[in-house]
Amino acid sequence: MGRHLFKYILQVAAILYFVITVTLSFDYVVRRDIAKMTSISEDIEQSIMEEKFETALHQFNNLNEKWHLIKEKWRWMINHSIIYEIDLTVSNLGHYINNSLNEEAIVEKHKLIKYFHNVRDLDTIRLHNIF
Amino acid sequence: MVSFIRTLIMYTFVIATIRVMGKRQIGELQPYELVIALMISDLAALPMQDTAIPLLSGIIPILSLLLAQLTISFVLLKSQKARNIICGKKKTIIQNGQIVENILMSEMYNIDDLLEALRIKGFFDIADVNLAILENNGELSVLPFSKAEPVKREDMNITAKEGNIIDLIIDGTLIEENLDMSNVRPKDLLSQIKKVGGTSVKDVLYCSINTNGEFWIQLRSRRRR
Repeated sequence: MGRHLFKYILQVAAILYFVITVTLSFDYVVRRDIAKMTSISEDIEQSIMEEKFETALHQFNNLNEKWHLIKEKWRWMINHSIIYEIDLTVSNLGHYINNSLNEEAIVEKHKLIKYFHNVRDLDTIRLHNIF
Repeated sequence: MVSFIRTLIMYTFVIATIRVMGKRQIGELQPYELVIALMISDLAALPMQDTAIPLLSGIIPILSLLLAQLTISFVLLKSQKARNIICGKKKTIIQNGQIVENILMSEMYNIDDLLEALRIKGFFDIADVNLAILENNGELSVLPFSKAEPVKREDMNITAKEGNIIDLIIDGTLIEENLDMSNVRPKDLLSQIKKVGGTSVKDVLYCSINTNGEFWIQLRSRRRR
């Protein structure tokens, strides 16, 4: 019995360790990435409001570069269709900044922030997420 | 983490549903095993057919189910009370030759189901049945009246050799381990093959030996030799 109990405890511990480590570390990574992206997006909005499109473009390139790295990680856990949606929004944002379309760019920035918040809230342990 | 919690909730919910559905729906598994089989197949199918769903989204819930299954198995091993709650209790559906109607109702088992299960067990006349128990896995165990019980060897004082039928050759391949176990010499096996018209082990489709030392040999068709 002792050996079986030990084997059982080992199996349960291994599964629990795997599930908790994967989910919690992914949750941490997603939150950290979103904070980073949100901060850059806010800077972009600020530059657009001040009509500094050169700076906004520079900041957008930084955001785009970071997004390409982030999305590779996210593909492991997040539905790819959400990632495609964010991809499109980032691409639109770049286009609007390039053409100095400030209103459209701000709308896209807000869309982007909304997507990120949705991703972050998706895996938060809350009753409305569970049910 | 949300998917982990959701999986555990759904697992408990589906077990409860299956338990309420009655033993008739179960088949050969215990309720908690049936639920695992149903849910894992579905969970595995989703990421397989939709490439937009990451594999980990399927793996995490499956591991959560495995965890729940291990926990339930362990609890069932330790507690009779838990066994009664999760697996249910065996139900006597026929007692002293009389159908227990309220059990039929509670298990959603109709008379046709009962008669069918009895026929499958070899009892075509319900009058032969003394006791029938509906097991937790949905199987029916039947005890006939002694008048309907088949005659056993011991009733007739007949003895027979205990033992097994041993496969010696399957599809032209000799199973050497069984040959050693049966104490048959290769020379004797070959002479038996020759008796039925073969020349070597390769000519034999199937060969076995029973406890009386009698061989049963069928040769392969000439085209396959």
